[in-house]
Amino acid sequence: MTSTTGTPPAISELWFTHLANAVHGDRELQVIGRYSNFWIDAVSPGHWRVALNFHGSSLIPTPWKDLPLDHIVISATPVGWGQIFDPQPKPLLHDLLALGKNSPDVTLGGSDVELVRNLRVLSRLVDLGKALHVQH
Amino acid sequence: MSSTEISAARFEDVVGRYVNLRSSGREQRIYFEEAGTGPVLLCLHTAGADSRQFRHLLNDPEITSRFRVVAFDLPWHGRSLPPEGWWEEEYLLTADAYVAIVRDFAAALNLDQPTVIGCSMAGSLVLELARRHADEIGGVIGLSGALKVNGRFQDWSLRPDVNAQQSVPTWTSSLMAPQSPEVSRREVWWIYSQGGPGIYRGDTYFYSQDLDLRGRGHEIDTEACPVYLLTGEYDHACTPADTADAIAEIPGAKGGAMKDIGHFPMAENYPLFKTHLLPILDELHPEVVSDLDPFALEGTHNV
Repeated sequence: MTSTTGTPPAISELWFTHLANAVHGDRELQVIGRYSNFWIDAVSPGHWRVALNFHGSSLIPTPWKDLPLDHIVISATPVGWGQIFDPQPKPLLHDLLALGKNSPDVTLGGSDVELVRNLRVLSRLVDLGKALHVQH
Repeated sequence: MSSTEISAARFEDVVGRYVNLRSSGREQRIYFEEAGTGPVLLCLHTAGADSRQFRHLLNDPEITSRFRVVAFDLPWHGRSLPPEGWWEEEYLLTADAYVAIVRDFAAALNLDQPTVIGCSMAGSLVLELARRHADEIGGVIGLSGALKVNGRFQDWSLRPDVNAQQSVPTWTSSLMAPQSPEVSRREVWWIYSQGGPGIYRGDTYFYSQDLDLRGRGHEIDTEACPVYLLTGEYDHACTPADTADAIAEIPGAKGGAMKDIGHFPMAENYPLFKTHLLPILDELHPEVVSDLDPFALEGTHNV
């Protein structure tokens, strides 16, 4: 996970295990995520795909074949994943919803209801990911 | 009783009251706060929120020593109750009702030629006020407003399987600049979390559905009612481009984009917003602003 160049690491399947570890240490997610149970299909087309289950204040990377029917899809190019977790984002590209509107490299799909239902926890996950980028 | 803390309590100069009035044919009990003396700044909150968004302006002695700042909660918002019978109707704010309540409130308080500051849906409403009633208003300052703002009216917040108390504030928080102080961004979120069911949605009916001033900008007489429009560069609901289109269409309108700020400038980063506000107030009321430190008036290149 440590970068030898000083630049943030590329987002990958492995990176999400670090995000999962950060979730365990995040006081806010431990409070707001207690009753959450949702799934994210995180995809970088042509590169990697990982299913993430947020359940009981934990983020659990899971084989994507386990995805339930209702889930959130976040699909992005490597550039797009960099935008999602960019700690110093540009205006109108600074947030997952903004990126879904304005970035050609980020697509939000799957269940819209799952997205809005779990938006508070999802937004905190993105913030944690941005903090991970700063640490590395 | 004795205090459990050593430091003394501090009272704000802001005073809250209720006024009972009729608007759109119905009895309304309206809560408002005010502070200061001088020309009136009438402040209108965003969709689904309330007048607490203006607490920093209300508490700024540089402002309140020169202006009377008044902010009220729309019916159905904050401490203003919905009118009787609310439980049998779908809340959908219309331009007619919105214009009416602002005028009726201003009339009830005898507010003379107020400068009306509105944010988000109110940033667009002030344009309609200027179009319809320029003779009653000293000027308008629209924040995050435009002739038409698309895409904010959605039904999901009514679903019983969505906790709108959490999802609506997070949805709107997306519009703020990440560099705005966290405590302020969290406060904006908190105020939104206290909105009634369906109220944010009903407000966005006005913002995104009912009001469409495209092609009518020329009907606004900025000689009679000066128009200023400012929008934060992180605002992806009403973008700086949307506001620029409005400025281009309204002869004599001024304003532009505000750097490093989002959709809720007066609430998410008041010190930065103030640097944009003061030069406008200086233009509108030089007699009361001109004694301010010139440094404070250098904030914007947009005006």
